[in-house]
Amino acid sequence: MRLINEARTRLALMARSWGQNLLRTHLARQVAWLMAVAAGWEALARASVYPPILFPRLSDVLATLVTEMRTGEILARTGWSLGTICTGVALAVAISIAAAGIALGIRPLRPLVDALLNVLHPLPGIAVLPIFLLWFGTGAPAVLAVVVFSCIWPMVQNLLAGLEAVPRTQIEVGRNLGLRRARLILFVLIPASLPYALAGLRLAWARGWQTAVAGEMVFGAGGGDGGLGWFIYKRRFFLEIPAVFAGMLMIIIIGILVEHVVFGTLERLTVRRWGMSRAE
Amino acid sequence: MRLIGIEATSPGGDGQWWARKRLFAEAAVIALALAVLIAPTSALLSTRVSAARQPLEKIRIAQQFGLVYAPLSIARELEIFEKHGLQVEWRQLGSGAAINEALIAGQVDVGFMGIPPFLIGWDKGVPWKVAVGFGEVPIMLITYRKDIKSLTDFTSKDRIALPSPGSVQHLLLGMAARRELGNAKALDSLLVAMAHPDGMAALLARRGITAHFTTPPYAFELLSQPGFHAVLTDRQAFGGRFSFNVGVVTKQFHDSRPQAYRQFVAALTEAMNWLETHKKEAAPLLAPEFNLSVEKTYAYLTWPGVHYTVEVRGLMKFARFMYENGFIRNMPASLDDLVWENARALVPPGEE
Amino acid sequence: MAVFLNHHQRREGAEPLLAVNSLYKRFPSPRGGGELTVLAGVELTVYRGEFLSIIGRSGCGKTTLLRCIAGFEKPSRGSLLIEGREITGPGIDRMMVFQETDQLFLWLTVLGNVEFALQAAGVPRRERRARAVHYLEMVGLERFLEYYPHQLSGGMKQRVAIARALSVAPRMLLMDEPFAALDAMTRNVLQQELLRLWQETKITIIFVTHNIQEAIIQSDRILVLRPLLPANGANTPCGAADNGSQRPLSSIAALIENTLPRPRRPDMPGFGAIWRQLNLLIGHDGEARTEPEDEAEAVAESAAEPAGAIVLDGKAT
Repeated sequence: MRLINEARTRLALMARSWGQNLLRTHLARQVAWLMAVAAGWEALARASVYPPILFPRLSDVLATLVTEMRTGEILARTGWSLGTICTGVALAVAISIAAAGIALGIRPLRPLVDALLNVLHPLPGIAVLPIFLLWFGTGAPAVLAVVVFSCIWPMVQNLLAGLEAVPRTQIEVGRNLGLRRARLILFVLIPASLPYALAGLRLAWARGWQTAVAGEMVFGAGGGDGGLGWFIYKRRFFLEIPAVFAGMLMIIIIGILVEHVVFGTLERLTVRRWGMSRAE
Repeated sequence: MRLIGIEATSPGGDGQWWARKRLFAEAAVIALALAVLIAPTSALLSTRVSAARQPLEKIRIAQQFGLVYAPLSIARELEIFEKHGLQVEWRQLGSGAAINEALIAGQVDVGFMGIPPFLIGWDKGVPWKVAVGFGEVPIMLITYRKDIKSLTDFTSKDRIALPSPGSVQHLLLGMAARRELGNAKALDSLLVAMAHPDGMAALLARRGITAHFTTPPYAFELLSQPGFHAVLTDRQAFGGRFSFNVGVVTKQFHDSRPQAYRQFVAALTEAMNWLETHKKEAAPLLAPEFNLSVEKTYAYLTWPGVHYTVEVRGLMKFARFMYENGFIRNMPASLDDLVWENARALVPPGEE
Repeated sequence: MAVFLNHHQRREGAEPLLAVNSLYKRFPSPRGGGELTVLAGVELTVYRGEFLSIIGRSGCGKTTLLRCIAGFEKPSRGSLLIEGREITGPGIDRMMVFQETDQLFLWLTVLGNVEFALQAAGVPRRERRARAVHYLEMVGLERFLEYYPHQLSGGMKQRVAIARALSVAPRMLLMDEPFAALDAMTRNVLQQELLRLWQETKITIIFVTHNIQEAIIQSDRILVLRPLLPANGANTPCGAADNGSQRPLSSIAALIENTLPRPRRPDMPGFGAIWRQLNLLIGHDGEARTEPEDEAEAVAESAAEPAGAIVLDGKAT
């Protein structure tokens, strides 16, 4: 009995200190502020200062989000967007690896890759969409091409930087152990440049996600195709503003999930665990 | 003023000077507050006064670019709004959705839009009604594909471009699809939203899209290409005439400025009627603005199916179709739900 | 105690392992145009099981010589033979331990780093772990097997690097100032441990350092290199070495047999004499000279002792 009581007290103490820690963390403060903003939004919407059709209540938006999830459309659209972006990022990664390989492997081509990088990196993906529409046709292929375009440059840049930042010593240790070419690249160069590659991937994802949504919104996709951008675009024309906000919430949710859960986990398991993280 | 200056510099008056300065500051604040309170009243008074002498009412009108908006250009050229005592503030907006939002937000008083977007807003409780009709133009679904002769020939691989979801074109396609394919939304999975010029370019390039549902001058341009033909016209789809655009006025403007509202309707009616009856004279006036030759402009103005009229056609038929097929949730009980009192007379008999 | 030798002199009962024959190494001049000669006329025989230190001022080519032996650099002229075979590239028979503490693979644990080397060396999977643990025990890291390099101190990292190098059973260990980045205390400890390992494994060690005391405490023989360039950096002797109008310069200043009894301590008789000799050979602006610890001891130990024959430029004086 005494033992149980003791354990209970200890648990309670742990829970309290954990709660206090949570409150003190930066994350908790951010959440608190977000709640405050949400409450302000709801209050402002209820006060009907702005036409409700343009400035819906947060509660309506959340209700719409739930309804849309239940009918499945928003999930299908999200799935389509995620499909586009994943395909796009995967293609971009493959192309970037090839480009980085060419730049580092074939000396005379290095200035070409650098020049392309310098010229095209500042160009937002969405700006090339009109051209890509002519080249690749409307809808999915053009949006995918634009996503790939916007993902490639940060990826290439980071891969090159990462490969160049691999300490010479580590390469020589590998060579000393008799590793050549493929094995040296696979077992030394790639893991050693992983922090840069991850940073590049993170950037590529962010740019790709923005571009995919914006691309669908500006030039539409249509009908069966089309992701969240198209969802928002369509609902706007039917003046279903809560649904427009719901679509935006979905984009935010996906963004947070990928940023913190996917990339966060990936980094915790790799570069952070190895003390290689550049973010700290 | 000079007295104050002397006092401020008088010997031993340092503290006094500050006290005085503070007093002035307080007075200034009070004066400012009074000014803020009085200003609107006086402004109101002054407008009243000036209205009595020179009756120029301000009105904000949203417009888009295109031959459909020719009556507004004519009204500008001939200063018809001014003649009716209106001073117009023009708002050039990029899309129908932007016009809707500007009206809802109270940033413009009058906007022109297709009947379906108007009904979508009405359905959502936007306080607006139709004040005038804004002309009729032919709308055509055009393709370069010889094998496509009717809606039944489209396959899941084809893509149909139209300006936006919920547009007149979208609803016309829905009506035709309902009749020919049994489901108003049968072709929705083929739709691609594209602005008219982009859609035309894509169709001419035969890239990505199979057909483009569009209006003049794009429709005329496409039809002049060899092998391009219309699969569907607005008449076939709708089964009659309807207003391509309607002039929509918010309740706020209609109720609070009845005088300006009447002047607007009168001026627009005059501009429309003048254009309809003076196409020959209108062509050279409009050609520069649309960057077309006078001949071409004239050809467009006189194209079969182009009517510049304030008559309001097709409202209830669109409403019924949209209601029955789930595009809107409410059915207007009568025309009065949709049009302001003056426009009742603009609806041809038998359209109720 | 210190005997200055001719580098070709046979050591009694010792078996030659590595032979460096008239080695020259030139690099393209960083200032563009022409070449910079870093090593010239190096003749050296390294015997199995010996501890040889290479010492000299910075820029005298001691690291370059080590890298030539490791196979990372190709000789411009001359040859390097290990057990009679020509060295053409890096190989697992000559394991390098670098000065940099980033030589460990950060993404592998302590154990993983050693196992990785064993895998590269072709050791069967089931033998790897036991062998890795064995070598990590030798350097006293058996409690840190699952640690990642970033969780280790600088000294521990160098121990892992040594264990990793030893694990693949190389013919020789090439150490390039492996303790230079460590604090004095850790350095002393690691010196002692290295000596213990050397005695346990009987491995041949070539050890590059600019620390005279370290060289004396550890090595059987000390190779003193001298820079081919004047201290001010003007590039004259290289050309001279090439056109043959002058007698070619050799990089080797001296090769000294260190006969002080082990274990060696800086305050033991004879230590100071060798220290001063080396200091003199290295030259007065050498980095080594600026080390106060060494200098103080050298002054304290001012009773000079006679040394053997001094060999300069390969010729007895």
